[in-house]
Order: sequence, then structure tokens, then C-alpha cells
Amino acid sequence: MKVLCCVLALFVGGCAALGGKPSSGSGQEVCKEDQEKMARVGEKVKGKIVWSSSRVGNHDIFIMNADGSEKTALTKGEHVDWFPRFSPDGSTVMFCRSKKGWVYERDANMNFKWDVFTMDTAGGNQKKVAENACWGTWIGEKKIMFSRKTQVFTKDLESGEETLLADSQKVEPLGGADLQQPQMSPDGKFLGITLRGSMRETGIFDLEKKSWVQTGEGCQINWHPAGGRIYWVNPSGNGGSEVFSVEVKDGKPVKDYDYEEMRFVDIPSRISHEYFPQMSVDAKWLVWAATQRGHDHDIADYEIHIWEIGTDPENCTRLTFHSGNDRWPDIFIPGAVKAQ
Amino acid sequence: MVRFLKKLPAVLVIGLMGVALYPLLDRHLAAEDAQEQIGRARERTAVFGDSWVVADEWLLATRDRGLAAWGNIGGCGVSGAATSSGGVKWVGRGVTGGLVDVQCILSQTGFAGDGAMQSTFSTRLGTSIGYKWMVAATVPFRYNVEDVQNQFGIDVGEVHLPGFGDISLEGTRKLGITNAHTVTLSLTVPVGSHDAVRRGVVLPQRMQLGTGVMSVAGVYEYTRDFDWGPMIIGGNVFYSGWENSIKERGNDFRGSGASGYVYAGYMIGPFVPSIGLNLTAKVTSDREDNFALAGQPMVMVSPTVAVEWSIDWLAILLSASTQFSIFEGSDALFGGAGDWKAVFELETWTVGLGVQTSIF
Repeated sequence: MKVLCCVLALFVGGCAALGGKPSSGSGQEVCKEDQEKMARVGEKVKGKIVWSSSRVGNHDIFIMNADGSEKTALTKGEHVDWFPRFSPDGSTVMFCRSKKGWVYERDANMNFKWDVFTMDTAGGNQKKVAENACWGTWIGEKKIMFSRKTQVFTKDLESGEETLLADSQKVEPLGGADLQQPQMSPDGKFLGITLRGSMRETGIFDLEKKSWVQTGEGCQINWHPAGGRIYWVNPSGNGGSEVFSVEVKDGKPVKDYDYEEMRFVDIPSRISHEYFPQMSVDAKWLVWAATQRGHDHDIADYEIHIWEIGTDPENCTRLTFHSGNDRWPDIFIPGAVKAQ
Repeated sequence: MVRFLKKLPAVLVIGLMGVALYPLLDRHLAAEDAQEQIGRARERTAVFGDSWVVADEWLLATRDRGLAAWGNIGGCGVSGAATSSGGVKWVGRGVTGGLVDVQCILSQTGFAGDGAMQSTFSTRLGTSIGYKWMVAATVPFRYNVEDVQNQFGIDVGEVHLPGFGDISLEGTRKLGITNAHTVTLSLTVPVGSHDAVRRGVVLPQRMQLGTGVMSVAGVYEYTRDFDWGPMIIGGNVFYSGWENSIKERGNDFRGSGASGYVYAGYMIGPFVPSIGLNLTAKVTSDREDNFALAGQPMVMVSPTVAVEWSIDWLAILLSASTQFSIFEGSDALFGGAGDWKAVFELETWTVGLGVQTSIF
């Protein structure tokens, strides 16, 4: 019994010492094939990608060219900075910042642990734009949307006025669920939302009718820039996740899709646990992060990828090569025409 | 004190069942709590004439009941590993992503009353075939120790028997769009010795390394991960109804039956502490030397506690469980369960240390 107690104490002590924070990790060598693929991306698109990385400690926001070159940190410090999103004109980046040191992403819906900030693309002019809020996205040049647990708000950045847009506690079909990562449709009529807490699904919320249509059981639902399609992550496929996409009309999928019909991206390689998909405004490029092992969004060794939509997904290009955690990329392409 | 100790297993069972059902209760309480707060906010609005937005702000500020830890996760489907090996159930994140999933569990089981011990080092190798299928093989190495008597009831001393046990092969089909349901067919191949002789005595059934016959089991599991933490609810039906052949004495036979179980884990950083309860019932008695074993447990309950720690490429599990018989059979010759008698007796205890990784 004494031996067992000693083993138990050593196990608990040792594990506690290792803690739950992500590893800062280290850089990895980029093979020639990957270098060539990155160069080919650079020839096709001149854009910027922002993402959140743990490579210098608690997560900071980084920026790089769309071909993976010139990686630069935009923020630094003990706070967790994540979920960066380019403003429509690409001049500003909005992101979520933890109020205190290390906070897990699984606490993303505990809004009192987060604030939403903006900064320019050089990391300057950092400004808190929403208190006790998370999942900030742009819905106009000077207008943002964010989530506070069961509520979604919009905020006019010039007037500072906040408006309650949706409240799951007042809409019966939403059952008081946490409204995670709300995304407004391009026509402004619908919200794509991942429900967590008392419910667990993705779906579309009709802002006028206050009605809810479930679209899937995964997470991270988002809109095609032209509207008319949604995409989200489903926990199935190679590596345990894949990106689904279906056509929608009037806030509903146009038909009952078969499993295979919904598959949008599922890379056949070993690094195929895809999450955080985000489409460029011209709908020509998709960025995401994927890992081979593990799942935890903010701890596992996710790597940023980019894919020219319509080409063979197997030819997607890996842009980061670091054993730290890289997550939630967004892409901005100057001069890109919004998809219609 | 003695009376309390006699009731302890029942208290433990009721307590664990309560904990297992807590997520449902918690959700109900959370809903009631939210409704109550909304009601108070409405009253406040009526009294103070505040706008709904202000009422909502107040509601938001005063709402401190946290939802389940897993309920707040950013993702993302069923990711709890749930495999059994060496008498230990693995509940937690596990490790995925390699070509071959490797799980090694070192466990030790002690038998109450007579001091017999069984140590098992089981290695489980598994891999996915496509998106929906998994196959695995488990190879146990066992080391059994027991005081043995000969056919005349004379103690011949402590006997040690090391060697490979029966190999288990399993195929699993994942079901549902999030793969939350699994159906597994398991086949145990008789590799371990079932008629080993030490000091001139054919060892009793539980001292043998194998059964000498094949057995099959069907397993269904459902993994929920949005109430509380990873929760595994499942059951299996096992058939061991073939009689082995032992020349030196009468044959052995192992009874068939079914079990149901529920395990619930909670995520605290890289740790997943879990508890579980397994209820097993046998429909036919074990027989040894062609006779049913008197007083053998027919319905058993096994509470389990465990904690897993994991990173991307390594998971470690510590587990402890006990098995109590709650009904035992008597006087059942050549099959059948005989008359059952309600009891509460500690049968075995098991501690296990597991390591899981996913290589290549």
C-alpha cells in the first residue's frame, strides 16, 4: 500500500508539475517539397494571414504572408491572445484576450474571462473594444459582433453603442445554450452559431423570425462570403475531423444531404485533424489548422494550412512548422473582390 | 462500525449511481436556475422600469452557475478514449493520430479472503481502417500466485504460474455522424494454458492462464461528452459456453452473462479523473472439475476510480477498482445458476497503471 501511495503521489506531483499550458515548442525543418509548395502559393496570392500561436509562451497573435514567409509577432505578454480577425479593409485585427494569464479555450464561453481588442497590422494601437466578451468578428468597417455566453451583441465602434442581437434564454429553440462563435450571413439576416452548454450543435438563427435550424453536430460554422453556403467542422473523417459544406437558402439547407455530399475538406495525409477553417473574401482560398495527434484546440500541435479552393485538397500547403500550438488563422488578400 | 462496514458497498453503489446521474440533475437545476433568474430580472424590470438590456446585463452578471466543463469546450465531437484491457477501463482523452495505437496496462488483482494474486501486463495494439472501423489485438502476460491444495484437500504450498494468457481480437464499427456509438465484436483465442500442473496438482481454474476454449463478446458503447465530461454508457454480452478438456481431472466451464456500465470523467487541465460502475450478471455458473463452484458470485458490481493525464503523444492512467458480489449461486450442478442468495461480499480488488501512445 505504501508503494502504491508513493506511485500515486509521484504521478500526481509529476503531472501537476508539467501543468496544462501548451508547450512553446520549437521550430522544425522545412523540407524542399514544402518550400516549393509555399513558393507556388506566393506566386498565386499576395495576402496576409494572422493566427494565434503559443511559440513564445502563452498565445500571441502572429502575422505572415500567405506563402508562410515573414512570420512576425503582433502581440506579446502573459495574456492569451487568440481568434484574430481582419477588418474588411485589412487595416485592423480584432482578437480575444484573456483577462489573466493562461486560460483554456474551453473556457471561451465564460465571457468574464475575456475581452475583445483591436490593433493595427503592425501590432500598434491596441485598444479594448468590448468588455467581458469573446468571439469578436467584423460585420462592417466600424461595426463588430461578439458573444457574451448566451447573448450576441453588435457594437458600433464609433458611437460605442452596444445592441443585443440574440439571447438564447429568450428563444425557446436555443434552450439557454452558449452562443459560440456567432457568424453573420453576408445579407445580415442570419447568424451561424455553434451551440454549447445546454445544447450541442451547429445551426442557423433567423434574426427576424427568431427561429433556429440545426445544420450539424460539429462546430465552427461559418458562411461562404457570397452567402448561399455554410461550412463547419464535423468530428468525422480522416484524422477525426473534416470540413463539411452545404448549400443554404432562406436560412435552411436546400435538401437533406448525404454524408459524402457534405465533405468539403478532409486531407488524406497524416495531419488531418482539421479545425478553424476560414475562407478568403473572394472564396478562392481556405486557411485552417490541423494536427496529427491530440485535439485540444489550444494545446495540440496544430499547423496552419492554406488551400486553393477547387484544386485537389491533397495539394494544400502547410505554412507553419513548429511544435507549439498554431490556431485560428484568418486571411486577407488586398484587392480581392468579394465573392458573389 | 461493523454494521456500517457491511452496508458500505450498498452506500458506495448508491453514491456512484448518484454521481453518474448528476449531469442530468445538474442540467435540470441549471435550467430552473436560469428561469428563476429571468423571472427575477422581469420583476426588477417591472419595478425599476429598466430596459431589457439592463435586465439582461444584471442577469448576466449574477449568473454564476457554471455549465459542465466539457460543455464549454470549443469543439468538437467525441474524443474520449474508452478501451478495456487487463480489467482496467481507460476513460479519458487517450492518444490518437498514429498508425498504431498502443496501450499497455500493468494491473494487479487480489482475491479477498485467500490472498491469491494475479498480475497482468497486457499490451493492446489497435489501428483504424478507414473512418468507421477499428481493429485491435490484446496480448496479456500473466503471473498468478496462489496457495493450492491437492485433490485430498491438503495444502501443497504457494504456486507461481507465469505466461501468456488468452489473446483477444476485436473489431469495432463506429456509428453516427459524430461516431458517438460503437459496436464491437470480440473474440478470445485460447492461447494461455488451461491445464497447467504444479506440484502434481492441476491448478484450479482461476490460477490457469487461459480458458482452453474460445469465447465471444458483443459490446455496445455510447459516449456522451456534453453533459459533464466524457461519459461512457455501455454494455456487453459474453458467451463462454464451451467446456474445455482436462485429462487429469474433470473439465472446466465458464458461465456466460452480460454487463452494463457507466463511466464519467471530468476534465481538469491535462487530467481526467473518472468514476465508474459496472454491473455484471451471469446466467450460468462456472464449473470446475465438472462441478459448479459453491457460493460463486453470479451478480457483481464493480465501482472504479481512475485518473488520466495526457499530452498529445502520451497518456497515463491510474486506476483502482473493487468487485463485490451481490448475489451468489449455490448447488448448481452441470449448468444452470441454481438458487441465488443476496450477499454483499468483497471479491477482488484491482489496481492498474496504464500507458497509451500512438506510434508512427
